[in-house]
Amino acid sequence: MTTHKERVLMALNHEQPDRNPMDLGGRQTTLSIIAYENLKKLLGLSDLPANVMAHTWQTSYIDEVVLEKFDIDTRHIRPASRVNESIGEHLSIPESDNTFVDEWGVTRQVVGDYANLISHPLRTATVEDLENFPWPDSADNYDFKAIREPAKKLYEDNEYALVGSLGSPGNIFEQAWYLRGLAEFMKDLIKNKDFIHALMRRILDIRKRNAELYLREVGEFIDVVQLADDLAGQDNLLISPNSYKELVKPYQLELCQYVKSLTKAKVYYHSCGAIEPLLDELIDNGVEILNPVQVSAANMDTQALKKRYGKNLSFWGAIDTFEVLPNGRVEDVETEVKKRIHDLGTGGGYVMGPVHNICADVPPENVVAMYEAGLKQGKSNEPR
Amino acid sequence: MSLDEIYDAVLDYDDEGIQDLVRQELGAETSPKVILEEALIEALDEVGRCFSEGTIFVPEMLMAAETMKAGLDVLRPLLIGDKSTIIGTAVIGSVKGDMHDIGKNLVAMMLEGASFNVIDLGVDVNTDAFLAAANEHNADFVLMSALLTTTMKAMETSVRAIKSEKPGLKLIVGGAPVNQAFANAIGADGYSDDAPGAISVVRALVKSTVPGCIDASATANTH
Repeated sequence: MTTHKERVLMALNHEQPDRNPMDLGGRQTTLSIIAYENLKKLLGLSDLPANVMAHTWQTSYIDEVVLEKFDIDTRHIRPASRVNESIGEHLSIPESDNTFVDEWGVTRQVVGDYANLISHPLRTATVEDLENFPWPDSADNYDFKAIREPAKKLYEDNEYALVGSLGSPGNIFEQAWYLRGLAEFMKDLIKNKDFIHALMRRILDIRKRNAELYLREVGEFIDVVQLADDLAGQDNLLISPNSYKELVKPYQLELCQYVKSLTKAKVYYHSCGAIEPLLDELIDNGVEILNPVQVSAANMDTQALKKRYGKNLSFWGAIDTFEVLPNGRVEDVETEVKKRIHDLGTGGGYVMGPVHNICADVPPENVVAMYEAGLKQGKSNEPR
Repeated sequence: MSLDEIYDAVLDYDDEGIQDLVRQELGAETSPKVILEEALIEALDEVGRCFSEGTIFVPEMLMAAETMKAGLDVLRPLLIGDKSTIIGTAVIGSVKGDMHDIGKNLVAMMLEGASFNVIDLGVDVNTDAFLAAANEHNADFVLMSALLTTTMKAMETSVRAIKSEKPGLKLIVGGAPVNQAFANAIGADGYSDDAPGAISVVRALVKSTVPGCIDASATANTH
């Protein structure tokens, strides 16, 4: 009988598994705190305590009992954030004024399912100012030592595919504009390239240190390692392909290759939006798995993506959180799951999950329907 | 010819050089209105076209809008009192709960560049604030932006409330998750999927509702 781990690895090696693998509970494939409370209520599991994954994104860890119930094939290896602890790691649904300052000095405010950016510490900074900025230290921000033993045990159990999250998303482009402010950063891309290069280099060094600390503990155990850096919006890229190649790619490439030098895990890269025009660049960087496959964005048709990039890329996500999961009926969810597994999973190459962390606007019935449909539909794919 | 240089400065994102070029052109006794309409607005329309076609991206459009604004800053004191250059008054903001403003800022800058009087209320704007500003400034348009599916609900609430309070006021909506079907369903008068499109929608509404008003999109095309 195929184990969960074998199922995922077959899919990622572009072979047809016995059923299409499914993910839940990862950095980009979990539920928001509010959505998870709703799901637990539906499942009669309201007694389970809330366990915040990322304060910034208002996301929740998913309990083992729920993962087993849905027959999820992955388990996630993520170091706890010490910064989150200081502001209440086990905080439940937030209330009142939820402004907080993250480890980079960016002020954020929780509104509904998100923590919005409120102010940017490098808004008016010059290249020289970067010298004196209090850069965060990954060794202080995450508890890497604590994950080695649980990861080793899961590895020895050999049951689940292990997905690694560095702690940080490994984002460079995003972190740069979080610090600078998006509008200023975008103007810098055209008028202040020296500043962009200096800022990106600083952030890259911190990400590499983060990757080293993380992979030193668990690099030998994990099957997939996640990087994330959003580069696209609903209709197009956020910046031009030329700006990407000149000012962003060198840093992403260096990080990706550095990660690959420290682990055999396949590199999973997350960018929301209409990312299709950069997929060849990402493949060149060393990316092997694309997440989240935002099917509601421009040129993200799953059949076309599979046809053009399916040999070089596996796909992870793709169940629509824009229209189907929040607004669809149970039948619509089933149709969506069937379509994505057919389009992306024929001949392997697909791990099913939601496009975005499932937010409060998704009825818990649709979450259940998605994974039940995945179990049922995932077995019906015939090899091409 | 210097009008061409001003036009090119916007397309080259030369926000430092454009003010001198505008001053030189004024020194050559070209009217501020001609500089506005035949150089700045023309250039921004071209930038908008390139953006909508996908050949330039938000950073380039932001820089072009900033450059145009720098040019406009020189002209503005000279245009005050010349009512023929003001096409209409627009109140703009991101809806309640939404803190995102780049798209909204672009629309505001481009509208201002396109000769509208723009009242920018910023982010997290509730229905009462939209209404109060529209009343105070006797606005023709209210433009609302939402980036999140979750704040689209606030957009719906505001559009419905403002429509019932002031049915004559034209409401235009936009933002990544918003689409034409949603705009129709909530009773908005206009929708665009990008910033240049929003300017076209506003201009079209001006044309259809205010006969005899200046149609900025029909200014002489010298480029």
